[in-house]
Amino acid sequence: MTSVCFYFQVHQPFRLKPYHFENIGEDHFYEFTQQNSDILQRVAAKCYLRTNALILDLIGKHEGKFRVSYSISGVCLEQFELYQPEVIESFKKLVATGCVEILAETYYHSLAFFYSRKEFDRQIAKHSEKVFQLFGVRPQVFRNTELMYSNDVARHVAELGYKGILCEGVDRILAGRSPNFIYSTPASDNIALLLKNYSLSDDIAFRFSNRDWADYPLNAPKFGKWIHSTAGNAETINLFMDYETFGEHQWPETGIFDFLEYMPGEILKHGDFDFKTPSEAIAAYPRRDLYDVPYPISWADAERDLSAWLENRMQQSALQAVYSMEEDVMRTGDAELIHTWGKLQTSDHFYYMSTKFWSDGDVHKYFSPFDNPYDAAIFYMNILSDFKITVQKALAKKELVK
Amino acid sequence: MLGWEFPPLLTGGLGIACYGLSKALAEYADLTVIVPRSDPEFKINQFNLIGLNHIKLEDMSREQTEIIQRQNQNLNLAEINRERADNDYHKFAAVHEISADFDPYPVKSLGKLYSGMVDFDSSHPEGSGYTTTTHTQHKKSIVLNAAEAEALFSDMDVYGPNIMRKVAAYTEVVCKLAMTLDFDLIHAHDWITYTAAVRIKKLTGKPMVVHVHSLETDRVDTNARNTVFEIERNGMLAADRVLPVSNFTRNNIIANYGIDPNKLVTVYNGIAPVKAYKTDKPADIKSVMQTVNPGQADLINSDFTPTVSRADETADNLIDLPAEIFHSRFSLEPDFIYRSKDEIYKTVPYLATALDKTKSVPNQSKADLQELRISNSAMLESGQLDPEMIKLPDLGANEPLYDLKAANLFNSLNPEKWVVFLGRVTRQKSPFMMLETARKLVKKMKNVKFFVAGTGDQLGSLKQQVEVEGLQEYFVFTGFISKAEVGLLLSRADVYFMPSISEPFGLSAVEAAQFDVPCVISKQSGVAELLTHALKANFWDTDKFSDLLYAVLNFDGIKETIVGHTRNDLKAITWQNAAKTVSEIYTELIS
Repeated sequence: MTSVCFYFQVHQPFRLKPYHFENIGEDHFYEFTQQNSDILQRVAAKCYLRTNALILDLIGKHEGKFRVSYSISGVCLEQFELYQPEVIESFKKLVATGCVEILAETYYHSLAFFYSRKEFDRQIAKHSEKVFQLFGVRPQVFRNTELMYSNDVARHVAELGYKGILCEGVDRILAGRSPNFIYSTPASDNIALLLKNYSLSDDIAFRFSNRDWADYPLNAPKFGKWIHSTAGNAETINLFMDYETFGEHQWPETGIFDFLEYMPGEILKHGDFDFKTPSEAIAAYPRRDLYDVPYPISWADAERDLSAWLENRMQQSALQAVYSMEEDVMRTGDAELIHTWGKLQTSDHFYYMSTKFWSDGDVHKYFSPFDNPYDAAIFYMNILSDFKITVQKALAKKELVK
Repeated sequence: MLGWEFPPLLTGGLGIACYGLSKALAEYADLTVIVPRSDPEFKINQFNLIGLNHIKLEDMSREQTEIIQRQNQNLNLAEINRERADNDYHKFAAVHEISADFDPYPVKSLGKLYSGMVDFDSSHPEGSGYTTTTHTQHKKSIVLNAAEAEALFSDMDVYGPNIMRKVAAYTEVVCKLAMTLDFDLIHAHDWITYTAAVRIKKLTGKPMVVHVHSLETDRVDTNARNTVFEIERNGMLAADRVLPVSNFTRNNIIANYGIDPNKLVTVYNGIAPVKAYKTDKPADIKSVMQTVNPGQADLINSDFTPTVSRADETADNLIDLPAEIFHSRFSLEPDFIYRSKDEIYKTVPYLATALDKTKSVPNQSKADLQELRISNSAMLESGQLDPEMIKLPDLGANEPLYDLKAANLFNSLNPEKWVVFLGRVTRQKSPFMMLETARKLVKKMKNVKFFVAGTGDQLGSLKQQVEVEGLQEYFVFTGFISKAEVGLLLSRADVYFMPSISEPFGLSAVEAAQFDVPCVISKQSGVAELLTHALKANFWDTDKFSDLLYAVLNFDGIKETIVGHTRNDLKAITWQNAAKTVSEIYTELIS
């Protein structure tokens, strides 16, 4: 038997506004509310609501044989509640089918693991609580922000009690092996690894509408054949991608929704193929080999490392600056300040500062609300400067009250 | 190759560019560079350099002169008249009133510029006759003979009040000279050589390329439609290819001069690599003006006692630098000044020996000082130096060398964040946008100093405004500074600020980048196309400029990222790249 395991990432950051240095010490509200609301409503209409409805249909149509999983960041869930609560309702319906698994992640979609384990744990717990409160389920399988992963992550997450973790199937680590099996980690016996099949995932997520691609156009029967060609030599084909692939990155005109509609049927035509969620795949198949990742990897860019977030000095110093505030922020005991601090940790802020592909304007630019990485860094640092002042003031006030 | 300035004689950006390009281009082509003045001591192997100050007009054979005369006569009268009306310097000679806003490019003496207009009289029996007209003496001819033409080019200052006379003489002499040379193509740099190029093209039919380093619409404003504009436009119309130094300039040429975009090929300037260095800011900033040779920053003293107290700081003594003396003689683009060490010593004597009162004179510089003393005496005698400004150096070990009146400049300063503004203080460089930016910046940060290095027609009003707004403590006006001083200043700068309204290229930003100084520049500059990682804003957007300066001065990560990436950008900015493009154009035009 071979299973296809879908995981869709659902995330929207609280984007920051262009914050000028003159406002430091005076303006303590950092979010670009209008933009956040606009984007969320746009993507909800184009992707979340439409795709959720389609997937709900497909689950019904295939009588539960079509199964998928989602990871929805805490900051995204919050924005659904704020700007488009209908999306929460549609996810509730999906979870209620029993065919949809919700995965664990850091509430703020952050890089906390690499800077503060304490903060990392706090964010996972906060996210788990939010998921339970909304959907009545507790996530069992973890995926870190942008599939950032290393042996250390696996060890730590295993200690937190998660039975599985998702990561990228990186060629240089697989060294010729197939990503289509469950792997184990040298760091822990208690956790199983699901490796992204980036080739088949990217066929859908990136290449689907690319007319220069030799296999264009991609349709459901063709994709079904590719999946079936692995018969006898694969146990779990992990297709991981941004949920916004459907309707937002790939527009409806590309035929992406037709593809999604017919793809499950094509795959299920072959009796040896089915769909499983990550928990089910981990339960169904043995760990076939060791996947040893001493240095952090991710699913980003060709390098599949963390360079999209902390390659240049402004990213590094911004991250250091925000995490260096942990003790002070926590000491305030002020829930709102702690929440603001969390939102400032969202990985997107640092991604916007990436200069990797800036010159030739690439995928980074597409996602950034700012004109260039320097603006992203400047506004972020201005905001952080103000936030530091605010935190110090709160601490001083607390001292006074004592 | 027709140029106007050439190192090591006093030169602006044009000279540096001509020199850099010629040297690199010599790999691809046999070059003859003709300039008004060259230094007989200056030897260059790569190409043939002709300074008109060194040739005797009589040297040119009578035959050659006759050829030109015959060719001139072959043109029928109507053609000659039309030619006068269109392309030649007859055009500017016919202008009676000159717009007062004429910013004379590297020329400083606005008022005098047109006092000696030149008209060329081809019917003059001597062949090389010139008539000059002045504002008061229209059409009253003054014959300029060969000897006078020679005298023109012997003048140290290749610009000066009689620039139009020089342009006319240059045109005439170069045309004659060209007839004696064997060549395939004419390459002219900026408007001052365009008339010559156009004439040579007419006489020989050889292909012609004009290089655009700067435009009248940059220097005056977009609407400038004066004589120089006409000369530029006619040159570009006549040319087979026009080479702007940036796409920014290319777009301006299309928009303001109506030149066919198909013959415009952008050739970015290069820059010679420098040995950049970093020095600490002096504990007491007064010593910053003391010249050191690169790598010998230790010469700077740290315990000099200023002679003027803080209370005495007014706009007047703020600007009271010896450099002002030289302003009158050297008001070219300080961004681009190239001079040898000796040249610096001769022309900026106070710099060479501005050591502290107690420190002994380093042995190796004593000879220099002796020489300096002699040249200082000469300058004092000729009235070029104000004796009040300096004391002659005493070579005794423990005696003060100079009482720098200017020292008061620095006593209010301590090691802080330095913003450097380098260039002529003129409308084009937008000094008042800098002031507006500074006003916004200092609301949030007090530990900042704006160094304004350069002189220009807006310097006085800028200083006045700085004082009116009470911002003196944030400004340092250094006056004109030498190449070595620019290096020293850059070695300590925290950010280079160039808010120019219209900057065809902006080589000074590249120089700053070479010293690992992050650049904040206007989008209206050519160099913005090359320095991908410089921070940019529209020249009028002082909100943005202040944001950018604040970030670079306060957030090290941002500064380091800019500097790191800019090192990569710099790798592409070479004269070799420029020469390669130019040689391809040559090949295309000649074949």
